[in-house]
Amino acid sequence: MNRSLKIFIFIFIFQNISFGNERTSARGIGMARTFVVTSRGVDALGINPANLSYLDRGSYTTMSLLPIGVRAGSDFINFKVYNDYFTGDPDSLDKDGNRIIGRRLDANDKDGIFNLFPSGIAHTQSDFDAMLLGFTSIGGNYAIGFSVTERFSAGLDLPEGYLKILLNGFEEKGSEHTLNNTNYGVRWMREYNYSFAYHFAKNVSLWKFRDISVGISYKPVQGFYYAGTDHYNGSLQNKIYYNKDSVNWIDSIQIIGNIDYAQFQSSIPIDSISQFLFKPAGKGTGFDIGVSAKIISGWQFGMSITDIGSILWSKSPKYSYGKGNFTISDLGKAGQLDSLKNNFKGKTIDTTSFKRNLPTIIHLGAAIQLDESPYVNRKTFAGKLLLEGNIHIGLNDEPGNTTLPRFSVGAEYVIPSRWVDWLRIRSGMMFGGRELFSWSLGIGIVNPVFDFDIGTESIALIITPNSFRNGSVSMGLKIRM
Amino acid sequence: MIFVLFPFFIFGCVKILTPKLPSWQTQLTIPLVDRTFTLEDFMKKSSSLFIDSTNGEISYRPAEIQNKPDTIKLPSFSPQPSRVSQVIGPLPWPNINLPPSISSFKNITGQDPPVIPFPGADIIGIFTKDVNLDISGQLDVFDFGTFEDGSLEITFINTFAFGFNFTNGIAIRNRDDNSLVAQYPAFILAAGETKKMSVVVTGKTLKDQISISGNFQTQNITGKIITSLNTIAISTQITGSSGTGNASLSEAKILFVGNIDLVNLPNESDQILDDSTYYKTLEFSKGGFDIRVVNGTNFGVKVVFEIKEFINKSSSQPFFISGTSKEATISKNATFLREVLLVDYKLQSQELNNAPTNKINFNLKIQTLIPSFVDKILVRKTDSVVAEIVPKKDNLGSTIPYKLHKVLGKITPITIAIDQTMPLATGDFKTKFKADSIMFDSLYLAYKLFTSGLFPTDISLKIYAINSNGIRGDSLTLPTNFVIPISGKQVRRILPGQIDSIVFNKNNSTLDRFISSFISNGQGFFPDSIRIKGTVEINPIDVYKDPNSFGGATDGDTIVTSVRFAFPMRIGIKNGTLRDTTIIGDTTASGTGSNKIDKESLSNIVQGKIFFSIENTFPFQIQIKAGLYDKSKDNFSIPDTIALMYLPMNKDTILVDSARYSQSPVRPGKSYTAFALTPADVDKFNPATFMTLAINIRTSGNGDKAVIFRKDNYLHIKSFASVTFNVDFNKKK
Repeated sequence: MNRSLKIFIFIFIFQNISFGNERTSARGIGMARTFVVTSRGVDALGINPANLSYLDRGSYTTMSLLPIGVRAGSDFINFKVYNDYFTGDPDSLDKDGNRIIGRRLDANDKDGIFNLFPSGIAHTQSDFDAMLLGFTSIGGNYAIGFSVTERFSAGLDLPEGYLKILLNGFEEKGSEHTLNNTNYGVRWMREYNYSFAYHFAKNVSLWKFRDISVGISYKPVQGFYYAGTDHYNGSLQNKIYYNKDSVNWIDSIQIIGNIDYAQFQSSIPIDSISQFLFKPAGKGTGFDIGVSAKIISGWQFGMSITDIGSILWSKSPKYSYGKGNFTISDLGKAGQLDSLKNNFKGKTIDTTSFKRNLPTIIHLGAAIQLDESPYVNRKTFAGKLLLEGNIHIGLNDEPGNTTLPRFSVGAEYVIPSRWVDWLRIRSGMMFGGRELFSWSLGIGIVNPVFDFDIGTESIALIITPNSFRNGSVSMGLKIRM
Repeated sequence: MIFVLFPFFIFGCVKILTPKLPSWQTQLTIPLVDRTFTLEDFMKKSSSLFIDSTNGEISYRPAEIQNKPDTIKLPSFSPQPSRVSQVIGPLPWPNINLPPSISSFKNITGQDPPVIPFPGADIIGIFTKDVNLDISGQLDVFDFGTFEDGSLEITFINTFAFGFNFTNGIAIRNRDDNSLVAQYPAFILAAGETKKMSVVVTGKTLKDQISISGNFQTQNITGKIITSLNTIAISTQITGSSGTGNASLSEAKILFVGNIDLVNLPNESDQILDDSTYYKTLEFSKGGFDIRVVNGTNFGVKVVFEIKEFINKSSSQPFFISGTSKEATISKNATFLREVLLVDYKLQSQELNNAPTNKINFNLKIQTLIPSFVDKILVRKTDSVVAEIVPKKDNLGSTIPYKLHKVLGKITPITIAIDQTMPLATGDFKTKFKADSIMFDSLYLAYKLFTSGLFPTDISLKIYAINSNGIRGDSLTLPTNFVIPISGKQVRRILPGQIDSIVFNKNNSTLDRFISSFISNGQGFFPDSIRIKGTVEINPIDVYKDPNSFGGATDGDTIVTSVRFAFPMRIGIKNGTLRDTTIIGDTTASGTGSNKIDKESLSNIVQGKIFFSIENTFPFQIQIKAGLYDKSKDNFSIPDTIALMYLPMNKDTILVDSARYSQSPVRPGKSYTAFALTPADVDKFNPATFMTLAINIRTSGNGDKAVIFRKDNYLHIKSFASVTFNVDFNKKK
């Protein structure tokens, strides 16, 4: 099995790959998605519309050439866990050195796997964004932008209870497996972005802010597939009752469980997607709003709220639900096992329509062009260094989003050599969110006509390959005019 | 995908190994059975237990059965049509006489009498005199009449001084057609003579205008003084043909001056039922009749009809022949029809003191309804009025019987055969339970019979117990309670409204043997049904013959017998065994089901255990042996006949001590047992779908001493399994 195939299997089988958003700006990916302040041109579409009114490295007009971004990752498993537990016993090798039998998991191994579940839940998320068309232009104090982006997002929150059922079963001492907050969501939507920005005059200031720009995006969105959990709580327990007189004796055992979940689904006919590319299953409207400003020389602040709005899904909408408690004390008693099966299986009914929010996020950031700041000696500072820090706060857990806040820092460096002034080196780190941590790296090849950017959030693999749990790459070509 | 692989291709420092699923051990600790066998489960899963409120003891009442009611059918009667035909018959001569006529000399001879003695010779001539019955100034009451019986007497009074010789007699003829009414023979009417002659006119028709004529010759007229005062006066009288009595007419057109009663039956009676059924009140559910009156006369008639016993059920009014009237008017030559449905009426005896009767009393009067002094009416003696009561017929032309619905009175004895078999509702207990012997401290069998009829009833029944093989045990005979006067015969009799009730117990019967005899030396089963057989006689003959007795019954009245069989749970049992089968797996499919471990995975089982936790509050020790069975290949819902394995696996049993009733609160006997299972054992256990529990019970004293069963007696059996096994998906592949 060649290496590519192995990685493929790792990503697609163990990490449950799917696709998501925020991926079309390869520059931003290289800086750990730290871009609310310094994104420019088409990179600013969908991030902070206020930034459209700033010149993009001196260009008034930019166009994108099919930038795409892909990411798949999970905190459920990392590369070390994979190697340790899912690649076989290192002591059982065949003549070619291949491992013959699977790793025998002992109690410590099981605990090690369970420890992979932060807060008892493993988050798995995948995104894929592809900007089919992007265009921005500045005229005077005004700027406009337009883009069409396909966005695929999927997420799965898996409580450790499932794995405990698999690994530990129902123990003789009793077991309780909680399935609370199980959550999954898959969404495919198309976003049309009509953005407008206004750059106030240089002499306009607000408090200490100047060079102020504001922007807004109007985004009709079309939904083609949605399946998601509204809520999911449950538990499964085998409860042991010991004899009151003699604790050595089991008096009775009961399997006790409860379930309460609801899910929504709506989609175009999956077997004839081509006929429905322009006949969506859901329609909605989103808005982005943003503001950017400078406060002192070199410092710039920005804030945006993206994807305000919702989609009303109305094609083949279905509502699945299940709720109930059950106790099994006698496998032979009519209805007890049926109660278990029926509660988990639930019921699916056709519903009229349902509304789901867009993955609304608040972005806050500050950036400084360090080589131009008063904090360094500009004459002796080698090269150019842009630093930016962002906070991202998701307002819901819709696919592509999380309410787990993220903090990220990113940098873009230009080597002080005229031989390589076409090269941009970018890096960044992000903490929190579903990913917990990622280290990004990216490069940009720039010239007056175009920018070619590529970036990844999986660079931590180099330093701590064993903790690798995400795969990510974005790339794009930006044309300047 | 190339982009996803980007980090790896760039840095190439990570070794990716072929994935291989790990293996591990896991446990499955699950409940299998949690069953509480109450006393009710011991006896019958659906039986009723009741608690004696006086001592808190529990009684087992496997049967309280009310049989399918036997129905009392009241008799029906075949009605016969009845008919009253009234012909008008000969009409009385309306007492009309021919008006007297006087003929003078000129009238007779056509010449005036001379003022001197008659000079001439005797005169020969024809005597003619027209007479009209309608006398001027009187009503025109008569057109004609044909005599049914009559004679016409004619009287001549001669005041002349000479005689007349009527040589050919005198004839009376109807003037319009010259038809002869009466012909009198030749005669001589002497001077100054009065002469009477009579002729039978039966069959002759007399009309209202007649003539009297005849040839005559005077005798010795010469020289006789004749005055205008001399006349021959003629008068007539119509009488019966015998010369006395009234004449009658067979047909006439006359003017009636009053109505006559054609039919007058003021106090008639008829038998509506048979001669053995008497009623004070009576209701029918079926049947009816038509009252039909055919008026064959040329005049209207009035019918007055009353049935004294008939009372309309809805209005409580007496029977009306027409609307709300007892009278009906029928036009000439018309038919009157009145439909009477018996279901609309009830009959109430009108005898003295409302004494039972089998008849109805009615009045029938048919009266002419002739408009007086208006017009003359043609009447014939054959004119008639017919009154009929015609029972209703069905579509096939058969007479619909009068179906008794309710009677208060006397009916002939009705004998009803009773043969009811009532299951004891012991369910499958009779096959689940076997014992070397069983001793009941007391049994109880309550018999009841009730009839909704209101006649004294004699009961002659026996009660048998029958087991499932149809074998009949001892019988219980209902004791007598009444001696019939005169005959001295002893019977069991209940009076109207009484419930016949007998409680059989060991003190008044052989009831203990009645049941216990079915079980002896481990043979036989509990009886599974009770049969009541015999007869019930409604209104026995001695009651029927008593003229002062009467009762009541409604068609469909029932005789209900019931049996309640019970015994306080004081039983001594020797080696009693109860078997019960519970389901512990999927019985819906032929496979092992999703909750079973597949054969390949069985080798992964490391160890297994089955636990039994048993609690016993019965007043006896219990020994339990569990058998595990696969489902039958032919019928998934029943266990296979061959056990997969037994628990315990050796000859031992799980022994559960009896409850300690000497302690307060009562301390249940408990048992905890665990059986280790090897993978081979699990292999046997794995397909088990049914668990059969053989529960052996033995009261103290080796069954010779009865123990008291109480409401809270139960046996709680819990079983659970714990299996530790390897999970190795690689191996499975």
